[in-house]
Amino acid sequence: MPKVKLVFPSILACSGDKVREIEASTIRDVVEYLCSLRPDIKSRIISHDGEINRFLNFYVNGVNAYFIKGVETELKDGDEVSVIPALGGG
Amino acid sequence: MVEEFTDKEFEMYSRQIVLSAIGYQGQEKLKKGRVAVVGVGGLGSPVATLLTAMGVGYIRIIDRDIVEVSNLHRQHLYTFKDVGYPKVEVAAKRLRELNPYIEVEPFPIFIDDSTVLEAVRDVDVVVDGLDNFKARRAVNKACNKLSIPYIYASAIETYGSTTTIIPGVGPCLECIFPNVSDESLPTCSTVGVHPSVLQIISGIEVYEVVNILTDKSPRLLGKLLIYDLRELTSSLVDVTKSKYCSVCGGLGVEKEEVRYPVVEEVCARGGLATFMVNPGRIIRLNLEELLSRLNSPKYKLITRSQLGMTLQIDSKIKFSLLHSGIAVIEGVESGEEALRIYRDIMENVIKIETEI
Repeated sequence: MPKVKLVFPSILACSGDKVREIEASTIRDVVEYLCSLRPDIKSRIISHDGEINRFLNFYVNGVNAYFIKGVETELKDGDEVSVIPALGGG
Repeated sequence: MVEEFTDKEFEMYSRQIVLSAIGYQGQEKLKKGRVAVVGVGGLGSPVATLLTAMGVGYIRIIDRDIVEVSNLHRQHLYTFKDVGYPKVEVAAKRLRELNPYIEVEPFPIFIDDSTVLEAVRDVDVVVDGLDNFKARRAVNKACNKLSIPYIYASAIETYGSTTTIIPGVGPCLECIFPNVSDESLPTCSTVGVHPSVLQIISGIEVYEVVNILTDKSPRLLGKLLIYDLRELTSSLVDVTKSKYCSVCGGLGVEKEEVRYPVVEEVCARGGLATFMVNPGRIIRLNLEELLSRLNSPKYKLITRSQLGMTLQIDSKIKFSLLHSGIAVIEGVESGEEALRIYRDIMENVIKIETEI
């Protein structure tokens, strides 16, 4: 499996590193990793119909995976994946 | 042609004039600048205050809400005596007191596709003080269409994010957060917001406005800043324009219309439901003329302000009407009842077609 650099903000990190190297072939693998890391917010990451909640955005080397192949976006060695949650209030 | 600064203005802005990042020429550009602040709540209050004090020549403040007690811990344009009055009316008064040398224009309206083009027309920059993505998407579309720079920002709990959108140059909000719905996001009323994070994010928004007005490069073009107050850390993420974007991509992807419902429940006050009625367009009512028609004993005038008035209808219903046609109706059982009262007053008493 390709090794990718995962960058996620402290909002999701809870504690520990915000930059980690993980193995992931697609964005779906990244989502599964996040769910295992934060089981307490799994229901907010994945909606009841199995889709990723639209408030989470995955950027692959600066491009939103939504505009590539969504969760099926393929990853390769050395890719940088940033997880960006949309914030609502103000 | 910019008029000369008066002695008082010169003194007021002296610390900016000696500041190399602004200077005399920069100050002149601020005076020529025209800015719309959409939303004067948690982010918009400090944004409008800073822009006013710094001497931006024209500031349009846009908000549909009335002041509530729960606003006061973070929205410092308002005090206890302002509760119940339209935010933009109170804010305009306070901002004019803070700086009488600039122009402040209040717009008490909903922001959606039916109103937004008029709301942001003829300004140099639009600044985000909104609290929901629905209105932000309408603003983003309008700014893209009219090629107006838009400073996006949001904040919740102890987090905030902001970016600078320059249409045609960098990504728009839809490129960065495609298809986000408010239903998937928590709100300040459910999870809260730390006032300090609002001060930080609003300060950065104003910095970007000043950069644009003084012809300097905005620092957050193509970069999303995420700030975490708990850890005092910020992340800068590169964000890119997408040709598949439904707003700015240019591929003819169908754009979803952003419209507010005609009537929605806004909150419960003292156990009584409160509904807001959206006229679906900007109406300009002459309140003096309306008052002369409201001579029925059925309606008792409780408060009258510059931009609105509140009527008591029987013992439990309060009907607040802004001159833009928005109404807040307290003490009714349902949205249908609120709409029925609105139509009755508008069509039978005020004699205006509601179109809703």
